[in-house]
Amino acid sequence: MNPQKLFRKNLKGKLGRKLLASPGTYQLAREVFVKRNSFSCEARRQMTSMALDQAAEAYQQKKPVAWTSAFFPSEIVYFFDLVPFAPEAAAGTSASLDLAPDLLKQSDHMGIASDSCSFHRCAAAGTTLEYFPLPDFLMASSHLCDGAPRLFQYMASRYNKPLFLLDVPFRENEDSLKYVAEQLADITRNLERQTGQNLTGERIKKVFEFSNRARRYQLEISRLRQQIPSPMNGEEGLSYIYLTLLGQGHPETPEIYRTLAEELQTIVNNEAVQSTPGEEEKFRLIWLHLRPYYSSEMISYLEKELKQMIVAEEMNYVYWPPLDPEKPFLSLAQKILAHPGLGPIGRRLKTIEKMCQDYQAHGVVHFSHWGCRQSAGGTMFMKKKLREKGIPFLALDGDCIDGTSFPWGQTLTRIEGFQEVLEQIYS
Amino acid sequence: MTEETAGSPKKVGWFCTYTPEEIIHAAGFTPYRVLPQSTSGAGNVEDALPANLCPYPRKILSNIRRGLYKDLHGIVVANSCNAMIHLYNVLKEESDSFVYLLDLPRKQDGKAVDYFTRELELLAGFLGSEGETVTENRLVQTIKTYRHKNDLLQIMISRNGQTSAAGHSPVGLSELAIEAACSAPETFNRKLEGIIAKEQNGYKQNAEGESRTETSCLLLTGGLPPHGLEEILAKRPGFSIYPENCSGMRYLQKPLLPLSPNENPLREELFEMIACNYLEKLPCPRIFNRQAREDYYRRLLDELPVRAVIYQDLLFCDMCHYDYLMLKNLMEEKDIPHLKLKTELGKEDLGQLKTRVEAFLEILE
Repeated sequence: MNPQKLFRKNLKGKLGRKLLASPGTYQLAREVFVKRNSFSCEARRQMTSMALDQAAEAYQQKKPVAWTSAFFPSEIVYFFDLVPFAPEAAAGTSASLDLAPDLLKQSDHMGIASDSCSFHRCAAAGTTLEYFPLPDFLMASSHLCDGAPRLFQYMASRYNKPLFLLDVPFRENEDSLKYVAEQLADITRNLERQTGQNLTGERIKKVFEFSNRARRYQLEISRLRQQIPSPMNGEEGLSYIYLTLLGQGHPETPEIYRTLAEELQTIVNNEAVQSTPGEEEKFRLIWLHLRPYYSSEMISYLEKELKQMIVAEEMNYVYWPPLDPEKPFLSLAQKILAHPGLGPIGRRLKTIEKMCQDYQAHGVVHFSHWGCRQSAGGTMFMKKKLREKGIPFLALDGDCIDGTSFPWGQTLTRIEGFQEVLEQIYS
Repeated sequence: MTEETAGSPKKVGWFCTYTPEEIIHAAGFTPYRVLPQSTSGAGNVEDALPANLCPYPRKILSNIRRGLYKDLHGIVVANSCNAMIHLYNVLKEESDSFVYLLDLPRKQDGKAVDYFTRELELLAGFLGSEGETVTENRLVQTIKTYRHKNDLLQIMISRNGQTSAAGHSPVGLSELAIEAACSAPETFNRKLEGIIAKEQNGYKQNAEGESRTETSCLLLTGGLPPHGLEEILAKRPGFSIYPENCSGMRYLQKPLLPLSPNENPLREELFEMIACNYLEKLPCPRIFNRQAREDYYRRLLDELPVRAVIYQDLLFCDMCHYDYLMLKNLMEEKDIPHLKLKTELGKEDLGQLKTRVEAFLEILE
């Protein structure tokens, strides 16, 4: 049997839990899968290696582990050389390993509402079933997500560990920058006390340099993906969200993005010589929100069968200015408050329109994760406004984690219907 | 929303109890709390707000589209949650009247108060441009009016509790809170003064012969209660209802503004006072202070004769979901029976709601 299949088969139950909670599993996986398996590109291999190293380090518990919610600035984690662990990302992994159905059942037993976000339901259940490494600190931000800070409060209370909550206003002005910057300074001072480390200007400079270098390569990748045909599809692009969540400020992140940029540049150079532009790319799409993590079928059908190529993802979009080590907290606050998804939908719409222009996209697809109030809640409004601007928009209802009720037939019909719309508009 | 009643101050709608009514009032408007009172569903909003979004904004939008709030001159939406922001997006697009989004901190410390103070100044500036300029003098007068309203409400609650409120309206404290939030404060104050004076006479007469019977109470908590719930509960004797929600005690028990008639505070101090006052009120599940919420629940369970708890776990509300998990532990610790309801707020749930609640009450009896 294929070692990957064998590994997955043995993950359920107590043995699986022990396997997943053992640092050795990740070290072994790195040796077996990363070094020996072929990857679509070298950057992907490097990122998988980094993720497995981080997981192994988190389970080793030699360094303090910080659980972070999506969008909490990971630079803060790296200021103190903490090991980050993202329960929401772990929920995504659980779906890809087919563990999510059991975790979702467990969350029901725990009394967690079934209309909550399934990322959070899985994360809470993973906590109870002791799938996750023990946290030393928990850090969550309010921006975009109402559920995450509540989940983190619940988990911090369970583990009786320090919790740092960041309250992010929707407005972007001097007052809100000050409010967020002061909170970040407080969190940092608190972490200095808790870890016994003094945060030096040198350390801030180093972490920000990693973050800024990564940003520069991300911009380069964006520029390359704007080429026609795009050198990278969405199946690949969506996997790099790991770096957005946990990689900002990590030393390996700029190197991974640099490798990716070089690989894409090579593809672009070769395509310019060899292929007919547009041959493998009938339509170019902007992808909003996340993807189903239990199956690649939908995106594969979209890109490989229908040649609707995802050329950019909202989650990979570089929306923030470079970080300034001379004003670390204000600078991080600027980054946080620049998020297009914050507050009223106007900023998000403007960003999507800009992406459509920059990437010469033919349409926009939104994967409406059922439990997401922020993203899915605005789908109808976005559809109306984008259509007014002449941008075709498709909303696909589903769940990123829970595949049991995924309406595949309905999704197929909608994707094909969208293809017809695009053909009518652009033929 | 353009038709107005001749001669009366223009109404400005608000939703969240962290919205400072004083500032709306100081700009020459009558603050009016928009609640999902309509019994009808929200079938006319599918083009704007998806079905898997909190029923509160969905019902509000539905009601507005049906023309229920034509007399509103404008609306202040607080940034309470993502669902409310989506409601704001749609109202801003569809409404002929002004729609303002107020940023609302989730913390209660000094930094949050500072930020909220600046936000309130922005709100006052905006409302001033739509109505009367919010001057220090107007603010002071308004604060006095609301302080008096608050004093009267505390008298109603502390002297007689549910008994007095029940005398005031058939359903009790919730109806009192709703009326308080939807009326011009001057009119409401006069009404309460009358009720309190009447009750004082009544108590003098009854003081020698009667003593009040202590009843056990049902703690009704969580999100906004569904349509018809309190009427169902009111029909069952033996329990008083303590509505620990934002259309009940969390609205009624705002701290008193510390302004005295001789003080002459600066404009910024007035805004800071209001900001502080609102952020310090009884914490709702939205506030990042789980411990305060837990302590508050513990206090209620210890101090009130709580026979049982009914938790309204509003559909698609993360704040309610996690608040319930915390309360569930407390109720289990104290061995208090509880019922969790999950509703869409409208009459579509009424049949099932009645069956579940009556079965629960029978068990208690």
